[in-house]
Amino acid sequence: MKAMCYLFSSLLLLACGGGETPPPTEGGTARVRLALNWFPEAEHGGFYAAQIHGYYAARQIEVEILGGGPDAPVIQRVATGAVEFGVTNADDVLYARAQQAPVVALMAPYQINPRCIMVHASSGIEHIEQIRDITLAMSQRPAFSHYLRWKYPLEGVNIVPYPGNVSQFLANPNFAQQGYVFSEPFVARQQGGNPRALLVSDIGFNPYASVLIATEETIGQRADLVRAVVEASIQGWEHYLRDPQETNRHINSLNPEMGMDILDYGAQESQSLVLDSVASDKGLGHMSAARWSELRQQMVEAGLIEANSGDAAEAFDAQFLR
Amino acid sequence: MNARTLIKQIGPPLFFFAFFILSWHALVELFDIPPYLLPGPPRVADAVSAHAARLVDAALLTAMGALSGFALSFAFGFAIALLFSQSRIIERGLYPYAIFLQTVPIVAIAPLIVLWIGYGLQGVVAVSFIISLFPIIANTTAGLTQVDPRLLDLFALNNASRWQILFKLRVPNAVPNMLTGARISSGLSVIGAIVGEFFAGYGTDDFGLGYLIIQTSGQAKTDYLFACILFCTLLGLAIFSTVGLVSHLLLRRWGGA
Amino acid sequence: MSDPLVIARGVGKKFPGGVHALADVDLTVERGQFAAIVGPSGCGKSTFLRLVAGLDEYTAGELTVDGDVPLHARRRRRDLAYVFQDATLLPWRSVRRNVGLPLELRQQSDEARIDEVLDTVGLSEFADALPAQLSGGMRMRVSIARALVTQPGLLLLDEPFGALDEITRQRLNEELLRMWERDHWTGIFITHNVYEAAFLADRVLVMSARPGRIVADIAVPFQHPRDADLRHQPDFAKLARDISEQLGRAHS
Repeated sequence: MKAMCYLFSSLLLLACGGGETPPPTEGGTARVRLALNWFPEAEHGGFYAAQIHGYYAARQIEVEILGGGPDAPVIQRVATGAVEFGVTNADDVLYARAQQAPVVALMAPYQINPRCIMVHASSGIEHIEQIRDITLAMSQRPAFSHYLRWKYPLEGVNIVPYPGNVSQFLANPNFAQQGYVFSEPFVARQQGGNPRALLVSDIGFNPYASVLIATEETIGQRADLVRAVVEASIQGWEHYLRDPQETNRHINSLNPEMGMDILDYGAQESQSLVLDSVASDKGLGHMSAARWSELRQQMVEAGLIEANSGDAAEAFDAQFLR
Repeated sequence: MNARTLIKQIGPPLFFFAFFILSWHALVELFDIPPYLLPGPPRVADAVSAHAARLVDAALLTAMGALSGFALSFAFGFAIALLFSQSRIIERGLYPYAIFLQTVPIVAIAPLIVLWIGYGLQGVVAVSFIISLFPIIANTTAGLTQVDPRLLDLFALNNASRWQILFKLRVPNAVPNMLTGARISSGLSVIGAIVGEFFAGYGTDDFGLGYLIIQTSGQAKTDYLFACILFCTLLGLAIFSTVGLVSHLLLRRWGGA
Repeated sequence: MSDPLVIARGVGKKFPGGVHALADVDLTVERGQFAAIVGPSGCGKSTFLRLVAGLDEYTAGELTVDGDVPLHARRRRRDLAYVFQDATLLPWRSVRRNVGLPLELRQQSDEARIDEVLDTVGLSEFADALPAQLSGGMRMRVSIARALVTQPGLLLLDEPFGALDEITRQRLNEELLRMWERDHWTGIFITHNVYEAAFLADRVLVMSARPGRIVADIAVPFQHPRDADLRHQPDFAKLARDISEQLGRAHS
């Protein structure tokens, strides 16, 4: 089983020296690795932009970005020291901390989580609480699906696993599925469907997305490095939202499944999700204690983490933000 | 079976099990391994007791999928092997496809199977069936075709019909092989049911161990995950042992030349 | 009477791989006669027996059983029995069900007859045992009982006692002889052992080395019923010597 494999490989990594010494620097350049939580896509655009437009390099940092996929063990890899930085979502950070994994969020590009439920326009469903009597495909890994089921009765809804593509959606008018607002609906429309995307954040469940994380140890012992990476990443995101073309070409070369059209669409839609009123006011990547507290509260209420599983304030560290 | 034999049978596995648990516990304590990486036995035991009802329900659901898949694979596998034993042409023509069942990675075709057969129990049973099928076909075919030539002579000398040879000679001859195939398939059927559940799910409120594994691993709840794995192991053991016991009882008649 | 059951004229057998097992075999076996065939290892004796049983086809000459091609004769008469070198029992069946197999394959059942043959071979107590529980000699006796259960007209035996110790072999020889003396089936018995051949048969045919052909046909003068004492008589030893001599020539 995959989970077992990751656990054992993590264990092996730990045994071989999880708290290993940092990789060698070359004449002052620090080399670090950044692990993504999915295949390279628009939602990672800012980090790739920072890489190829030289924002990391300008601060003497060479960042190797490691693409992920389904079941990517970002938390484990960061926590065991196999990589220095990772990208994940805020709910995963809270899950990890509840299991005593010492990971901390540093900056949050997406103020509005791109997660959506995609329904057929013909279904007449316009709000998530109206969902009933259909087949709904959701993964049970992330927190939102459990929160949804806890919050709404979902009468007559048959919940099935997330298929990873839109073919079931297109084939069945009585089908709905999870997605990212700039991804699955675009693909469905391209293939002749007529979807409607319902943002999960509209029901009040809104974890930060594509959050940059590192361990407490890294933050404590290499604060300068962390600061540099955070600041460069923010610059990368600003650049990506302004001018995504070159970055998207790079992402497309890494992940040919994502065509330029969908990447451009993703970059475009991300503008309103990343640079909302809060970010415009307080800076891109801003994290507030209130949001973290609220998320933690919601997860406790929905029975996803224990009430005594740590303080929300310890899950993030905003010292490197403006 | 008297007390001494019982102790001899159960003693060694129990001893090694205790040794394993103690080593695991020592490892976690000694290296101060955090729970998200490797939970120690006490944490796993807590998770088991905290979620016992759900784990048992899930295990029973997975068991249902596994046993159905296993039973189907046994029935179909036997029928296909009978067919193979009767026609060399069919055997040579179709055997490569049977091998395909063995070599294709199940996680690759499971989503396709679910797409064709449907979500829920039927999808789970289908995946479990596909993965359990080959050992039955392979072993039963071998048993049906690898008959002592002198026994075939004996039947020929008595002018036996094709059906008499099949049911009075080939099939009984194949029983030990069929049981070997069944033992292998019983374990595979559990794996198949769990992998099937990854893709077929069940429904809003029913879920098997496969579903729980995905959920707990995604939520980094490794103690709960280990509890799930423990139940998977117990389920596999239960089915395997039962088949083994049946096999043992039946083979007493076939034992020896 | 001269209406032989088995007539072989110039019978030859060449296997597809090139092995020339038999060449120009001439012999006849009269009805109710007990014939033995002796010869060096690998000379083709077993091959010949299989031809008579219709298990293989000859590639030269003519071989008839009751005026017919052996396979057709077997299917028509349905009274052929064969005893292999190994007991060849079905390991999953009890002694009783093994013995009853020929009847079963003819869709008949006759428990009384099964009991009778089991009694004849002295295994009544072991009727419900599995073959694995029996000694080699006992298993061979089951095989013989199975051969006799249908009251065969033609009984073919291929070195049935070869794997047994001398004492058991002699005892089984005596038992077989008694069965023949009672039922008078036509018998062809293959063996290495000249004493065994002389003790059991009315005629001893000596086959040459491969490719096998009959090089001697020796009549056995001893009257029936015969018993164990026969083995100690000087005439017996002389006959055995004569056969051995022929056998020695056949080896070359």
